[in-house]
Amino acid sequence: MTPTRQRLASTALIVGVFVVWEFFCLVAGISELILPRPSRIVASFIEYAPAIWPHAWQTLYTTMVGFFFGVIIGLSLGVLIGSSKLAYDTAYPLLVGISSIPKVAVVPIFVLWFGAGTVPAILTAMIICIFPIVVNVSTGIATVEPELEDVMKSLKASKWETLVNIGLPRSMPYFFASLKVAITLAFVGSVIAETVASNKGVGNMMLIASSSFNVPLVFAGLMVLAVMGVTLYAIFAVLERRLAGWAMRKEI
Amino acid sequence: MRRLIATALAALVLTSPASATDLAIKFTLDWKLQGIHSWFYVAKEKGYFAAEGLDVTIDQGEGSAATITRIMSGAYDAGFGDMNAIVQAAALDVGAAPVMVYQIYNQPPFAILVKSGSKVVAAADLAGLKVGAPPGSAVTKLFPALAAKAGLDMAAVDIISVKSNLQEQMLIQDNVDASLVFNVTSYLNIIGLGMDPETDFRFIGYGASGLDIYSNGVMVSRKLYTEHPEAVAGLVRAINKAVMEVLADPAMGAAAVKAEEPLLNEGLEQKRLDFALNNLIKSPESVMLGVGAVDMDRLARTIRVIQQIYGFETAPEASSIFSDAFLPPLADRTL
Repeated sequence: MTPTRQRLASTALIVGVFVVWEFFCLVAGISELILPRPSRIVASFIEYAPAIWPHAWQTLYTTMVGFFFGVIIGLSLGVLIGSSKLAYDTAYPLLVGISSIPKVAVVPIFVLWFGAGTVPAILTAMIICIFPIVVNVSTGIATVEPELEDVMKSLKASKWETLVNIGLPRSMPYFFASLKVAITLAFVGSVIAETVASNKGVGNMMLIASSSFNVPLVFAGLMVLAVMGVTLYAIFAVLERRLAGWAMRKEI
Repeated sequence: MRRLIATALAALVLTSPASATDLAIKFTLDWKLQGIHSWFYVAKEKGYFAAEGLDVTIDQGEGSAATITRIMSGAYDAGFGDMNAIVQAAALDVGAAPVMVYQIYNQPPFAILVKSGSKVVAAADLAGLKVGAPPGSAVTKLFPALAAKAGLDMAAVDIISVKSNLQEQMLIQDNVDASLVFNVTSYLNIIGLGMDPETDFRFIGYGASGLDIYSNGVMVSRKLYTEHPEAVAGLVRAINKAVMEVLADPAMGAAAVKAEEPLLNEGLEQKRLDFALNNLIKSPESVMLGVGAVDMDRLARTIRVIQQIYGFETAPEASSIFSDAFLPPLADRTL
């Protein structure tokens, strides 16, 4: 398949899903309270756009701040765990434990500590995206070929120099792959926190809309989240290709 | 009254010119922003809090019992929440529990919902029927107490756990014979489903069935209560002023929440507000005692009911749950 035809195919699939959805609702006569038609969702998005905007901005803001801290912490933990057998064995069980906790159960605790609003959303986004980054980065560093390390040793390189020159670059493809997962998870984290405790954000907006029986607006909220998620995913995919493209030696 | 004005003025003088010297108060609602929260936003927008030297931040909540947890954790200084949850907290540790200072819902919002064609007209008629109840909700927890009051044998009732957002639909489809609901929420849900709550359904209130407990009101943390009584008085004064204005003009209240959150449906929120005014706030008792006050004997009965349900050994004193020390004069609170 040529790239143009591929792009056409994926566009057709997306458009097709919405067309089928629209016709299905029309033909089956489904109530707007259960599943609104895509055209109604777009119409309500346009109608409420000025009021949706502050909510979308809040979600984007908490997601990005949480993601930023998540990346810093995840990367440092990943490097630490990946480069030391001791750290790997001691810290891993704790990390797995923390990441297994459903984040929706943690939000009320954050609220007790910091009050409702921006801080719990940032923290939830942060803790939800740390784990995939840690796992990927530490795997990248831990799987550096022993031969390469031997070469570095024979050149009298210190542990630090080996890490900076071999380990870190070697883990970059893993790191960027994890970023694509982490950014979508960060969205999930922010929205979870917003539905539990906040005054603003897309999650809060969807709750308010559903208590006013404005189901098209609930779906418009989902659409906003999906669009933001896809956009950020695309940005990180491009970054990955620019910064770690050297690892992709095969034409996929 | 003159003394009140004098203190208010003194507070103004003391706190001006910079609003930075205002006492910061974090206030939590019981749930997401709705028409029934209009007075808090009216008081904020019209500057009633500022006039009392208070810098109030209002956050949305996650349940009327969660208000108590939030205040006890120290994250919030005041809030709108459930009286019965205060009783529970006070039974464990009176010194840590918040204090109710302005009771807004004089009647409990708990109700048994049945279709208007149903033969159930009182709680006692539920014997042998299927009742849908949301697990963990106050309306379900209080049901055994209601059954005891109404002379209903709990063993004869078939309780089915139903998520609260499905209760009306289960009833419409005859999967249950009755649902235990919060009347404010359910009333609006029925409108949302395109039916008429007045003609198609019947609400049998817990209050009318003999369980005359109190529910939501304005509470403050024990810390604010002891360290800043003047701020508590100011808070209550400002909220009372806004409550009375909204009572006189509910449309203004609905417009205030709409201004705060443009995505709300103003007409719907006004219906919610009207329903709360007529069913939860206005009652023979609140006409007599004024809005915000409680009947201490009735509160003592409430406490005994909660004690029976949760089985704690020593019940807290009514005077440690509610304080009328900050209520404005009756003339300012009369319906």
